[in-house]
Amino acid sequence: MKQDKALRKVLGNSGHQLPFGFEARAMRLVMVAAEKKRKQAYAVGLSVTCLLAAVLAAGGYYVVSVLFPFKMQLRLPKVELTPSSLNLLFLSFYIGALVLLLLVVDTYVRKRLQKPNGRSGENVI
Amino acid sequence: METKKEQEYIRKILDGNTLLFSYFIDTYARKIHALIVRIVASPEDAEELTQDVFVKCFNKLGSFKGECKFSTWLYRIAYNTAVSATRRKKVVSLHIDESLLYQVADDDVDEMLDNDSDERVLAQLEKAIDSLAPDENALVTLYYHNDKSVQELSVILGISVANVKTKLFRARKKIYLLMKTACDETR
Repeated sequence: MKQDKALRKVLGNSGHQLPFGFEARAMRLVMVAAEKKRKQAYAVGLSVTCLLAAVLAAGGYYVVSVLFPFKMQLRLPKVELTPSSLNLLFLSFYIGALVLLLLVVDTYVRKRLQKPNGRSGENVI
Repeated sequence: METKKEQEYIRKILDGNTLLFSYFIDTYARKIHALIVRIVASPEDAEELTQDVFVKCFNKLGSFKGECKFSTWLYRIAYNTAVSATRRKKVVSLHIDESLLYQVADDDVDEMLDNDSDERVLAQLEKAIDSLAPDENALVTLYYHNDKSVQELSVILGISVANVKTKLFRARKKIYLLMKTACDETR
Protein backbone atom coordinates (compact mmCIF):
# COMPACT_ATOMS: atom_id res chain seq x y z
CA MET A 1 0.00 0.00 0.00
CA LYS A 2 1.51 3.34 -1.03
CA GLN A 3 0.49 6.73 0.32
CA ASP A 4 -2.94 6.67 -1.37
CA LYS A 5 -2.70 10.43 -1.69
CA ALA A 6 -5.95 10.71 -3.65
CA LEU A 7 -7.89 8.95 -0.88
CA ARG A 8 -6.38 11.21 1.78
CA LYS A 9 -7.16 14.31 -0.30
CA VAL A 10 -10.80 13.36 -0.94
CA LEU A 11 -11.48 12.37 2.67
CA GLY A 12 -9.76 15.51 3.94
CA ASN A 13 -11.85 17.77 1.69
CA SER A 14 -15.23 16.58 2.91
CA GLY A 15 -17.41 19.71 2.84
CA HIS A 16 -19.54 18.80 5.86
CA GLN A 17 -18.95 21.19 8.74
CA LEU A 18 -20.35 21.09 12.23
CA PRO A 19 -23.27 23.53 12.53
CA PHE A 20 -22.77 26.74 14.52
CA GLY A 21 -23.35 26.33 18.25
CA PHE A 22 -23.02 22.55 18.17
CA GLU A 23 -20.60 22.46 21.10
CA ALA A 24 -22.96 24.51 23.30
CA ARG A 25 -25.95 22.30 22.41
CA ALA A 26 -23.99 19.12 23.07
CA MET A 27 -22.74 20.50 26.40
CA ARG A 28 -26.33 21.36 27.39
CA LEU A 29 -27.34 17.74 26.73
CA VAL A 30 -24.39 16.53 28.78
CA MET A 31 -25.44 18.78 31.67
CA VAL A 32 -28.97 17.32 31.46
CA ALA A 33 -27.47 13.82 31.51
CA ALA A 34 -25.34 14.79 34.53
CA GLU A 35 -28.43 16.05 36.38
CA LYS A 36 -30.28 12.83 35.54
CA LYS A 37 -27.32 10.82 36.80
CA ARG A 38 -27.27 12.80 40.05
CA LYS A 39 -31.01 12.21 40.56
CA GLN A 40 -30.61 8.49 39.82
CA ALA A 41 -27.75 8.27 42.31
CA TYR A 42 -29.91 10.06 44.93
CA ALA A 43 -32.85 7.67 44.26
CA VAL A 44 -30.57 4.63 44.50
CA GLY A 45 -29.05 5.97 47.73
CA LEU A 46 -32.49 6.59 49.21
CA SER A 47 -33.69 3.10 48.20
CA VAL A 48 -30.62 1.48 49.72
CA THR A 49 -31.11 3.47 52.94
CA CYS A 50 -34.81 2.47 53.11
CA LEU A 51 -33.92 -1.17 52.45
CA LEU A 52 -31.25 -1.07 55.11
CA ALA A 53 -33.66 0.52 57.59
CA ALA A 54 -36.30 -2.14 56.81
CA VAL A 55 -33.73 -4.92 57.26
CA LEU A 56 -32.61 -3.41 60.58
CA ALA A 57 -36.23 -3.05 61.77
CA ALA A 58 -37.00 -6.64 60.78
CA GLY A 59 -33.82 -7.81 62.49
CA GLY A 60 -34.72 -5.83 65.62
CA TYR A 61 -38.21 -7.32 65.67
CA TYR A 62 -36.78 -10.83 65.22
CA VAL A 63 -34.31 -10.31 68.06
CA VAL A 64 -36.96 -8.91 70.40
CA SER A 65 -39.72 -11.41 69.60
CA VAL A 66 -37.73 -14.62 69.11
CA LEU A 67 -34.32 -14.41 70.72
CA PHE A 68 -35.16 -12.53 73.93
CA PRO A 69 -36.16 -14.76 76.86
CA PHE A 70 -39.12 -12.50 77.76
CA LYS A 71 -42.07 -11.29 75.64
CA MET A 72 -42.30 -7.57 74.90
CA GLN A 73 -45.90 -7.19 73.77
CA LEU A 74 -48.29 -4.32 74.29
CA ARG A 75 -51.74 -5.51 75.17
CA LEU A 76 -54.74 -3.34 74.28
CA PRO A 77 -57.52 -3.28 76.93
CA LYS A 78 -60.68 -5.08 75.90
CA VAL A 79 -63.47 -2.68 74.79
CA GLU A 80 -66.88 -3.40 76.27
CA LEU A 81 -70.11 -1.55 75.42
CA THR A 82 -72.22 -0.89 78.49
CA PRO A 83 -75.49 1.23 78.68
CA SER A 84 -73.52 4.09 80.27
CA SER A 85 -70.92 4.07 77.48
CA LEU A 86 -73.74 4.23 74.88
CA ASN A 87 -74.63 7.73 76.09
CA LEU A 88 -71.06 8.77 75.40
CA LEU A 89 -71.39 7.27 71.89
CA PHE A 90 -74.50 9.36 71.14
CA LEU A 91 -72.71 12.49 72.38
CA SER A 92 -69.76 11.75 70.08
CA PHE A 93 -72.12 11.35 67.10
CA TYR A 94 -73.88 14.61 68.01
CA ILE A 95 -70.56 16.55 68.12
CA GLY A 96 -69.45 14.94 64.85
CA ALA A 97 -72.72 15.87 63.11
CA LEU A 98 -72.45 19.43 64.44
CA VAL A 99 -68.91 19.79 63.06
CA LEU A 100 -70.04 18.43 59.69
CA LEU A 101 -72.98 20.84 59.56
CA LEU A 102 -70.73 23.81 60.42
CA LEU A 103 -68.31 22.76 57.66
CA VAL A 104 -71.11 22.60 55.10
CA VAL A 105 -72.43 26.02 56.18
CA ASP A 106 -68.90 27.46 56.05
CA THR A 107 -68.37 26.18 52.50
CA TYR A 108 -71.75 27.50 51.38
CA VAL A 109 -71.19 30.97 52.89
CA ARG A 110 -67.65 31.18 51.38
CA LYS A 111 -69.03 30.32 47.93
CA ARG A 112 -71.79 32.95 48.24
CA LEU A 113 -69.32 35.62 49.33
CA GLN A 114 -66.75 34.86 46.61
CA LYS A 115 -69.20 34.74 43.66
CA PRO A 116 -69.82 38.51 43.20
CA ASN A 117 -66.04 39.26 43.27
CA GLY A 118 -65.38 36.66 40.58
CA ARG A 119 -68.12 38.07 38.34
CA SER A 120 -66.90 41.65 38.68
CA GLY A 121 -63.36 40.41 37.89
CA GLU A 122 -64.61 38.76 34.72
CA ASN A 123 -66.35 41.98 33.65
CA VAL A 124 -63.18 44.00 34.13
CA ILE A 125 -61.23 41.62 31.92
CA MET B 1 1.22 14.31 27.62
CA GLU B 2 -2.24 14.69 26.06
CA THR B 3 -3.30 11.33 27.50
CA LYS B 4 -2.20 12.37 31.00
CA LYS B 5 -4.15 15.63 30.72
CA GLU B 6 -7.22 13.77 29.48
CA GLN B 7 -7.03 11.24 32.31
CA GLU B 8 -6.81 14.08 34.82
CA TYR B 9 -9.88 15.70 33.23
CA ILE B 10 -11.76 12.39 33.31
CA ARG B 11 -10.97 11.97 37.02
CA LYS B 12 -12.25 15.48 37.76
CA ILE B 13 -15.41 14.96 35.67
CA LEU B 14 -16.14 11.74 37.55
CA ASP B 15 -15.69 13.68 40.79
CA GLY B 16 -18.51 15.98 39.68
CA ASN B 17 -16.87 18.74 37.62
CA THR B 18 -19.14 18.23 34.59
CA LEU B 19 -18.15 21.51 32.89
CA LEU B 20 -14.71 20.07 32.09
CA PHE B 21 -16.39 17.73 29.61
CA SER B 22 -16.55 20.67 27.19
CA TYR B 23 -12.82 20.08 26.58
CA PHE B 24 -13.60 16.70 24.99
CA ILE B 25 -16.45 18.16 22.92
CA ASP B 26 -14.24 20.99 21.66
CA THR B 27 -11.37 18.62 20.86
CA TYR B 28 -13.17 15.72 19.20
CA ALA B 29 -16.58 16.96 17.94
CA ARG B 30 -15.34 17.81 14.42
CA LYS B 31 -13.47 14.53 13.97
CA ILE B 32 -16.35 12.44 15.28
CA HIS B 33 -18.82 14.34 13.10
CA ALA B 34 -16.60 13.81 10.04
CA LEU B 35 -16.57 10.06 10.71
CA ILE B 36 -20.31 9.78 11.36
CA VAL B 37 -21.31 11.85 8.34
CA ARG B 38 -19.28 9.43 6.20
CA ILE B 39 -21.05 6.42 7.70
CA VAL B 40 -24.65 7.67 7.72
CA ALA B 41 -24.37 9.97 4.66
CA SER B 42 -26.81 12.51 6.12
CA PRO B 43 -25.52 15.72 7.78
CA GLU B 44 -28.72 16.15 9.84
CA ASP B 45 -28.58 12.62 11.24
CA ALA B 46 -24.85 12.97 11.75
CA GLU B 47 -25.31 16.04 13.97
CA GLU B 48 -27.85 14.26 16.16
CA LEU B 49 -25.73 11.10 16.35
CA THR B 50 -22.63 13.13 17.25
CA GLN B 51 -24.56 14.60 20.18
CA ASP B 52 -25.68 11.09 21.17
CA VAL B 53 -22.07 9.93 21.08
CA PHE B 54 -20.97 12.59 23.56
CA VAL B 55 -23.90 11.92 25.89
CA LYS B 56 -23.13 8.17 25.77
CA CYS B 57 -19.47 8.92 26.34
CA PHE B 58 -20.32 11.01 29.41
CA ASN B 59 -22.65 8.34 30.81
CA LYS B 60 -20.07 5.58 30.32
CA LEU B 61 -17.05 7.61 31.38
CA GLY B 62 -16.76 5.59 34.57
CA SER B 63 -16.17 2.42 32.55
CA PHE B 64 -13.16 3.91 30.71
CA LYS B 65 -10.19 2.15 32.29
CA GLY B 66 -7.44 3.77 30.21
CA GLU B 67 -6.45 0.51 28.50
CA CYS B 68 -6.44 2.39 25.18
CA LYS B 69 -6.30 6.05 24.20
CA PHE B 70 -9.39 8.07 25.09
CA SER B 71 -9.83 9.03 21.41
CA THR B 72 -9.82 5.33 20.41
CA TRP B 73 -12.49 4.59 23.02
CA LEU B 74 -14.55 7.57 21.83
CA TYR B 75 -14.23 6.51 18.17
CA ARG B 76 -15.44 3.04 19.14
CA ILE B 77 -18.62 4.55 20.67
CA ALA B 78 -19.05 6.75 17.57
CA TYR B 79 -18.55 3.82 15.18
CA ASN B 80 -21.04 1.58 17.03
CA THR B 81 -23.62 4.39 17.28
CA ALA B 82 -23.38 5.27 13.59
CA VAL B 83 -23.40 1.67 12.34
CA SER B 84 -26.43 0.89 14.55
CA ALA B 85 -28.21 3.91 13.04
CA THR B 86 -27.54 2.68 9.49
CA ARG B 87 -28.85 -0.78 10.47
CA ARG B 88 -32.04 0.78 11.86
CA LYS B 89 -32.49 2.81 8.68
CA LYS B 90 -31.58 -0.22 6.56
CA VAL B 91 -29.08 1.66 4.39
CA VAL B 92 -28.47 -0.29 1.20
CA SER B 93 -24.84 -0.50 0.05
CA LEU B 94 -23.40 -1.75 -3.19
CA HIS B 95 -22.44 -5.42 -3.28
CA ILE B 96 -19.45 -6.47 -5.36
CA ASP B 97 -18.70 -10.07 -6.25
CA GLU B 98 -15.71 -11.33 -4.23
CA SER B 99 -14.21 -13.12 -7.23
CA LEU B 100 -13.89 -9.77 -9.03
CA LEU B 101 -11.80 -8.41 -6.16
CA TYR B 102 -9.25 -11.22 -6.52
CA GLN B 103 -8.72 -10.33 -10.17
CA VAL B 104 -7.64 -6.77 -9.37
CA ALA B 105 -3.87 -6.20 -9.37
CA ASP B 106 -2.45 -4.32 -6.37
CA ASP B 107 -0.26 -2.15 -8.58
CA ASP B 108 -3.30 -0.86 -10.50
CA VAL B 109 -5.02 0.07 -7.24
CA ASP B 110 -1.88 1.80 -5.94
CA GLU B 111 -1.53 3.78 -9.13
CA MET B 112 -5.13 4.95 -9.22
CA LEU B 113 -5.39 5.85 -5.53
CA ASP B 114 -2.10 7.75 -5.61
CA ASN B 115 -3.19 10.10 -8.40
CA ASP B 116 -4.36 13.24 -6.59
CA SER B 117 -3.94 15.70 -9.45
CA ASP B 118 -6.88 14.84 -11.70
CA GLU B 119 -10.08 16.54 -10.42
CA ARG B 120 -12.31 14.21 -12.44
CA VAL B 121 -10.71 11.17 -10.82
CA LEU B 122 -11.09 12.75 -7.40
CA ALA B 123 -14.81 13.35 -8.00
CA GLN B 124 -15.23 9.71 -9.03
CA LEU B 125 -13.26 8.64 -5.99
CA GLU B 126 -15.63 10.63 -3.74
CA LYS B 127 -18.62 8.85 -5.29
CA ALA B 128 -16.92 5.46 -4.97
CA ILE B 129 -16.23 6.02 -1.25
CA ASP B 130 -19.88 7.01 -0.74
CA SER B 131 -20.97 3.72 -2.35
CA LEU B 132 -19.03 1.61 0.15
CA ALA B 133 -20.76 -0.23 2.99
CA PRO B 134 -20.92 1.82 6.25
CA ASP B 135 -18.27 -0.26 8.03
CA GLU B 136 -15.88 -0.05 5.05
CA ASN B 137 -16.50 3.69 4.79
CA ALA B 138 -15.68 4.07 8.48
CA LEU B 139 -12.55 1.97 8.10
CA VAL B 140 -11.25 4.04 5.18
CA THR B 141 -12.12 7.34 6.90
CA LEU B 142 -10.47 6.37 10.17
CA TYR B 143 -7.32 5.09 8.44
CA TYR B 144 -6.79 7.83 5.87
CA HIS B 145 -8.49 10.87 7.41
CA ASN B 146 -8.10 10.34 11.16
CA ASP B 147 -4.68 8.67 10.78
CA LYS B 148 -5.57 5.78 13.05
CA SER B 149 -3.16 2.83 13.12
CA VAL B 150 -4.25 -0.70 12.25
CA GLN B 151 -3.99 -1.63 15.96
CA GLU B 152 -6.27 1.25 16.96
CA LEU B 153 -8.70 0.32 14.18
CA SER B 154 -8.78 -3.20 15.56
CA VAL B 155 -9.97 -1.80 18.94
CA ILE B 156 -12.44 0.65 17.37
CA LEU B 157 -14.05 -1.88 15.05
CA GLY B 158 -13.78 -4.78 17.50
CA ILE B 159 -12.05 -7.10 15.02
CA SER B 160 -8.54 -8.61 14.78
CA VAL B 161 -5.59 -6.73 13.27
CA ALA B 162 -5.41 -9.28 10.43
CA ASN B 163 -9.09 -8.73 9.73
CA VAL B 164 -8.59 -4.96 9.65
CA LYS B 165 -5.82 -5.35 7.05
CA THR B 166 -7.95 -7.68 4.94
CA LYS B 167 -10.94 -5.33 5.08
CA LEU B 168 -8.74 -2.37 4.19
CA PHE B 169 -7.27 -4.09 1.14
CA ARG B 170 -10.73 -5.22 0.08
CA ALA B 171 -12.17 -1.71 0.49
CA ARG B 172 -9.36 -0.25 -1.67
CA LYS B 173 -10.04 -2.81 -4.37
CA LYS B 174 -13.76 -2.10 -4.24
CA ILE B 175 -13.06 1.62 -4.64
CA TYR B 176 -10.83 0.83 -7.60
CA LEU B 177 -13.51 -1.33 -9.25
CA LEU B 178 -16.19 1.31 -8.69
CA MET B 179 -13.98 4.01 -10.17
CA LYS B 180 -13.05 1.83 -13.12
CA THR B 181 -16.72 1.10 -13.82
CA ALA B 182 -17.50 4.84 -13.65
CA CYS B 183 -14.60 5.59 -16.03
CA ASP B 184 -15.80 2.93 -18.49
CA GLU B 185 -19.35 4.36 -18.39
CA THR B 186 -18.19 7.90 -19.16
CA ARG B 187 -16.18 6.78 -22.19
